[in-house]
Amino acid sequence: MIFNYRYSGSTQVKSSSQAVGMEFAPDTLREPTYFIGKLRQHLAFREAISALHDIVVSDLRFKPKERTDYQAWLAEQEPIWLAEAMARKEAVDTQVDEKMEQLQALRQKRDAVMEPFYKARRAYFDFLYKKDRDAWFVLDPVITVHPDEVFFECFSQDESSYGKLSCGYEVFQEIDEFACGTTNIDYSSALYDEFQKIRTYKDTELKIDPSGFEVQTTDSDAYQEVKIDLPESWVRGFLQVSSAMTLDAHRLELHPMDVHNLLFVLKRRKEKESPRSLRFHLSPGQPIRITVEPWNIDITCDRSPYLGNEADEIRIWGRRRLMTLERLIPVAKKFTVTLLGTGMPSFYEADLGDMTFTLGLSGWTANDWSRLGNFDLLAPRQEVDSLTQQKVYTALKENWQESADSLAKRLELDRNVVLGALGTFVQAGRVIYDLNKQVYRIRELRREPLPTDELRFANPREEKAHELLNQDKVSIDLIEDQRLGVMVKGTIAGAQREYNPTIILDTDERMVKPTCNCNFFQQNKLYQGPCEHMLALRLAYGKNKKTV
Amino acid sequence: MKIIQQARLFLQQGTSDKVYEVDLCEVGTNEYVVNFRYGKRGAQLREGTKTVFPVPLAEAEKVFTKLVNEKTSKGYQAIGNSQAPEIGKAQDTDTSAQKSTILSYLEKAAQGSYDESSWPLSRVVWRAGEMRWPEAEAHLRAIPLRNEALFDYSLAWALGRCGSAESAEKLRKLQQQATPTVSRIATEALSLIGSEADHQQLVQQTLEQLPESIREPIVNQQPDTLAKKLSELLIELKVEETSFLSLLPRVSDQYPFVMEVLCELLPLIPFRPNYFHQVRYLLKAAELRDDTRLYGTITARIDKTDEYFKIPHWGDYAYLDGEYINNLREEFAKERPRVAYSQKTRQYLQRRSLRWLTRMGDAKSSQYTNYARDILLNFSDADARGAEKRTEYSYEYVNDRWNSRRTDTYFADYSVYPILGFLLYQNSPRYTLAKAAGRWRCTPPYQPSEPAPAVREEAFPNLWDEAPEALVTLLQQSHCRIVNEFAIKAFRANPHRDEYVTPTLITNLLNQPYSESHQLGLELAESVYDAKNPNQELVLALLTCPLPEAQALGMRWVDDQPKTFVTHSSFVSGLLRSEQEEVHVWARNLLTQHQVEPAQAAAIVQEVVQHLLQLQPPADEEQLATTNAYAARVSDSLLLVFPDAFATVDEAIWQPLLAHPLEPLPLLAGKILLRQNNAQALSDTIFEAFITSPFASVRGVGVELFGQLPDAVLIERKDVLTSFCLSAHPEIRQQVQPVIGRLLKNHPAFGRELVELLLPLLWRKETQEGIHQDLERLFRQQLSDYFQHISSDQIWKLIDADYREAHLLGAQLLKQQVDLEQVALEQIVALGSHEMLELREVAHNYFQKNVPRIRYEREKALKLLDASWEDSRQFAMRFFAEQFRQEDWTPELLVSLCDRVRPEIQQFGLQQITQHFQEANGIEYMLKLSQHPNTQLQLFVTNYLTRYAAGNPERLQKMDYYFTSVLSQVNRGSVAKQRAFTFLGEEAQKDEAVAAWVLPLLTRVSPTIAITDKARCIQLMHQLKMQYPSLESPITVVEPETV
Repeated sequence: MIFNYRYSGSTQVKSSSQAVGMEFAPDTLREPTYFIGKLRQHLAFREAISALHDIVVSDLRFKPKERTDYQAWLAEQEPIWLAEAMARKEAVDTQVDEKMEQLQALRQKRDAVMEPFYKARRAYFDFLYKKDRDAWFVLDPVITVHPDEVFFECFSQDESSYGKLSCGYEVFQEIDEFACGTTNIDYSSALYDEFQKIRTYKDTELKIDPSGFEVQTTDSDAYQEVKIDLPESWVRGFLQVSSAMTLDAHRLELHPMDVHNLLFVLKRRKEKESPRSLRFHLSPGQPIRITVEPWNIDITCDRSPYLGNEADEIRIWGRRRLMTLERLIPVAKKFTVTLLGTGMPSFYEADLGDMTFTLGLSGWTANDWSRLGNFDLLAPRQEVDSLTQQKVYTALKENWQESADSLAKRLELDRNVVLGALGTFVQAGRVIYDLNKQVYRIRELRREPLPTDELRFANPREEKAHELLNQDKVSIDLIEDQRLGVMVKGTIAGAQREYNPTIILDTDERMVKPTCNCNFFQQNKLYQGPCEHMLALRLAYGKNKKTV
Repeated sequence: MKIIQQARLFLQQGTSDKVYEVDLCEVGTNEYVVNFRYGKRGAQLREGTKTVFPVPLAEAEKVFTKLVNEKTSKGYQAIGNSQAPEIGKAQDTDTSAQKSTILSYLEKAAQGSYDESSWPLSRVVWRAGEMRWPEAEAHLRAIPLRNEALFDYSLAWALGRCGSAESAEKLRKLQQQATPTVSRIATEALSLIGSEADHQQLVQQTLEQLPESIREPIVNQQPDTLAKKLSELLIELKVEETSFLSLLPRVSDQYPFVMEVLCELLPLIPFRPNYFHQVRYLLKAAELRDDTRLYGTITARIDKTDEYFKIPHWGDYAYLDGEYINNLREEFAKERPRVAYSQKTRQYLQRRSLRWLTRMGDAKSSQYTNYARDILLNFSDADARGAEKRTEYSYEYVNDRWNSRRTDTYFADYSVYPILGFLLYQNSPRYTLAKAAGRWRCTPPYQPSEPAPAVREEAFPNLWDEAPEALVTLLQQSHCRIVNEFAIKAFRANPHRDEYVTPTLITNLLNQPYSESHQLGLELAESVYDAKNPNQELVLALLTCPLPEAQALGMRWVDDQPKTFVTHSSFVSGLLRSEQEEVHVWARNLLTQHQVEPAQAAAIVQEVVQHLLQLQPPADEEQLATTNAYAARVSDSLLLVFPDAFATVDEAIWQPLLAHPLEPLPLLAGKILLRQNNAQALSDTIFEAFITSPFASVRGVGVELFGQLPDAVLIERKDVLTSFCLSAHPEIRQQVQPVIGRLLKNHPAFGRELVELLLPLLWRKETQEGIHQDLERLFRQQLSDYFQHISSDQIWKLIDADYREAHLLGAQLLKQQVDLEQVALEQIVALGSHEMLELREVAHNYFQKNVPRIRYEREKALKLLDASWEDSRQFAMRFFAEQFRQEDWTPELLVSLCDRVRPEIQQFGLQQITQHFQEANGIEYMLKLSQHPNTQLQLFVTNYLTRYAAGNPERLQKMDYYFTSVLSQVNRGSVAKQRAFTFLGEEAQKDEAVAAWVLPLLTRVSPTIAITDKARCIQLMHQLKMQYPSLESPITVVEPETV
């Protein structure tokens, strides 16, 4: 999916020993949005925006080891081993030794000759790496200016972490002028370096440059056109996480040191086997207890009792992503954790006084088929006709932010209808739900509306799986604990025949070794992903577990 | 065992040819034996002995003599005895005897008194036909027809071969026979011997029988169309009705090209049902007509083509294309059988050819060599199947045990072709025909890699001796190594060979890919060459052949007397056209040293140019490169060797060159025009033709030609020149530069205009790769006098541009034009981050040389520490450490050093702080550095705590963030933590106000899971609780339970 931007110039930072001035270049193609203000809460802002940067660049997906060097070494070594194996007699041994010495000498000579070249090549690649580093960021952060706050949003490269930093206007002093709206800003790693220089003794001016919107001369060199081809899965992930915020969930509050302790455990150990989840044990009135698997280390949050009414146990994966919170521990007053359920997205809000930092995590770090979410986050919650939808949107845009109740009251509509309409907009990336203030806010992710229907499912089989589930065509025949995990067998009524998929969910709830007797699986095995029947069975199992 | 006496006897009588050998051997002291061997000559002999036990010498000699006498009395003769008959002679007598016998038999048959019991008459008739005895005709004509297919067929065939127009009547009768085979052969025969009228009628009839698409091109004499149509029908469309194929020879007398086309096509026709029987008819027709080319093509094809299907040893069926065909007999009888060309057919036809060739050879027919030649010409190196070795083990029971015996059989490259083998190796000591396998195997101990024997190996060497022209044909045309080997051996031994040595033969030999051919060619050349009256053609042949030795020989001969050769226009022209690169280089030297007469030169140029114009660009890329290189070589030589000849060359010559699709030719045209130096006379279309040429070099020459226009004309066309500078073609951009340089000398206004126009292009993206590079060169080489018109703004634009060439030019201009004193320091510092080392060094040098300014504008100067290049940063650190003094470093600056992001700069900052530390600023350092996000710096700050923060609650509270941050670090900064705890503990104990601030901090940190920290917290909190019970604290002291 192509995202087009046109920045007027590039973001500039002017820093001296007394002052830091940050002029963000906004996307001039969008309706003018600007903001000028001076920072009041320097350090907290510094730490928070650095955490946001960590999310922008984070990529925690599994990367296979680079083995080309090893392979080259192996190729060189193999004849030697072969020779060793062949050399039975001493005479041959000495001969081999002699030749080996010669070979060694030759190789040393070669290395000596080639060394300057290798050095120069490395230097060249390092140079390229540095020069082009900005190209790695997937999507520049989005800035939204609202009458009560300014917020920055970003989504990580690995399509799993969402970050949002909202700054109330108390964070700033001398707010000159602003125009509400959403825009992208030109973002670079140099900017991150400049953030690190924020100090209380330096005046720090944040400026989303309004001059960029002034009519410029035709010399188009002043503009910087950016075209970003975002993977659809990235956009889908972003929307899924945002729309997850609107769902009902458990909310718990953690003391900063609880997060410290959690990170402490993770930092001191490396998980080499599954399960790799966090288990939140919630029982009303009791301190929250978090178990870190696979070592089963219990962290008891003595100062954070669970205030909900029902006991529950929720498992969360992809916990290494929580490291982003590390810099926030000293500046945070508390952390509010929102858990949607096992394998579902989770949110961590750091209360920084007038600022709130929200870290949203999808169910797993890798959003591949084996961990496919067991909840269709982009499914329409309630059908609302488009006229009403438009009405709700226009009303919201008047105030930029409002709660569903107040909207319902103002428009004299049923609360559920308003919620349904807002949910649709959240899914389309036009509105976001503010967990902290519990209000809906206007935020257009892209200048043009996103094609929600295309984004909802990764492939037609996923769509069919949901269809099968909705039509009640899936029945679970057998659930059995096995060595690998839980084996689930089911029957799915097709148009002509019945299908009998079998899946195994391992301790990390990954789908392993699925089989099915449908044609798609017979022909492709798993090379093109699982068939709709396996997916439907998995979804049914997830639903089943929830109701039980 | 030692042989004392030996007798070797042989006996040839009728069909029998036997040997008998007797040995007298000494086996011990006075112990002798007499052994004998006997059997067919050449076969394995049987052994026996006359003395079961050894006997004394006298007795042994007696036995020996007795045996020898016994045998000689039976007719045996000793070997080496001159009485032994020679094979040839015996055959000779045989042939004449045969002839008279057969003729007499035929005569008897004509009279009706021939007794067929021993030899069927049809065979006798056939034999007469085979031998082509004209005397037999009369008898044959007299023999009555029998209505018996085999006999009538033989008779028609024999009449066709021996007969004359007189027998036409009889043949016409045979033509009426019901059996189609007889009728067909009779028609064929009639077409050979019939009268002119018969002939015409037959051709007409045949033409009518042909399909129209075939007939048309024959009648219209269009061989190409005929070939195309035939291949269309037979190979592309695969028509079922193919009978027209066997009709074609009948019209070949009137339209000889038909045979040519047919022979070209035959190697491609599939040997399959519907096709093969036509091929078979063609073979018979070829035999009948003695059409050796047709015969050779088909026979070689049979030798090379595997059977279409196999008839099994048992059963009447065949398995073909996944299908069983039962009742082969019935299948064959069908009009369109599904099977043809079985292995049996193939073997039969091979045997038949061998017999045919042997009979001809035996009869010393002069046709033999023609047949052999045409068969041999159909083999090529591509037919080599590779040498092979077969190992067999056999077991025999000897002395109570089984012994294994290993037999290696070797086969050479062409062993699978019985007919080829027969022609080349019938008398070879190294190959034997294994009849059952139908292959020529190596006769032990010979192995394929060993050299060939010196003796002649081919069948019927005498006949080859009489046919040197056949050998010459083979030498020149055969593409088969072994055929060439044979032909060379035979040609060397040929008594008439000298008559056939011509320059063409030598050239062809040298052009063959075989070293033996080259050797022979060189030998022949040397033997023929006469220095006094050198054969130009021969020398040219040597010089144009690809063999280096031959070229060297040719060059030597010419170098001996260059004048003689150079005076011959055709020789010089041939030399210049030579495709051999080395020869060409040599010829260039030769011709520059020995000038050709001007009158001759023009003619030679004309001739060579004509030759060049005839070159066509080949489609193949590699060949195109070769052709181009050749044309370039030739045209370069022309320009070099005839420097003056081109001044007068007119349009008629260079115009076609300009339009030629091969690159060197329009280039030659351009060079000719350049040499004529008369650009003004050329029209615009000519320039356009050059500039729009698809070849870079030609366009370059075009621009050069354009530059020959006088300055006045050029300045009028300055727009064109400017557009050349920005052309999409690099050579145009490059060639125009010297022209511009020349023009600028007298037209400074043009220079200013160019600078204004072209300079901005350097900081814009180039439209074509390489434009920046060429522009930069243009500025540097041609426009350097106009640099003063470039403003410093423009220079900075060049430096800030994204392109290397802009940087290069910018750097040069910066050094020449810009007074850095006038430049803002920010810009100079920015140079320190420039990609070009040269520019970074400009910044470094400026710093070195202007220390006072740097110190004055120190805040700006310190930005050099943030340069993106390591060398600039290193320089900056060195520079500031050396040049800045105590008074230059304000606390703000020192702190700003530490605030930088790069660790090494932070380190540098810390160093400088330590070095230039002043007590008065300590508090400032502590407070400011405490905000640093880096744990290193946090640790550094702990050093200041006791000195500047102790006993000062206000100051401590300012550092709230610092302490929270230090104590909340996750699994790091333990030293800083320890120090902080100790410091906080001490301070809190001193002052209750501090304690009131410390306690919440500890309370916040205390839930940590890190045991040491937690313990420390509890300990401190307890201490404080004890000391200040009034302060609120989460600690409750519980007395331990005592037992």
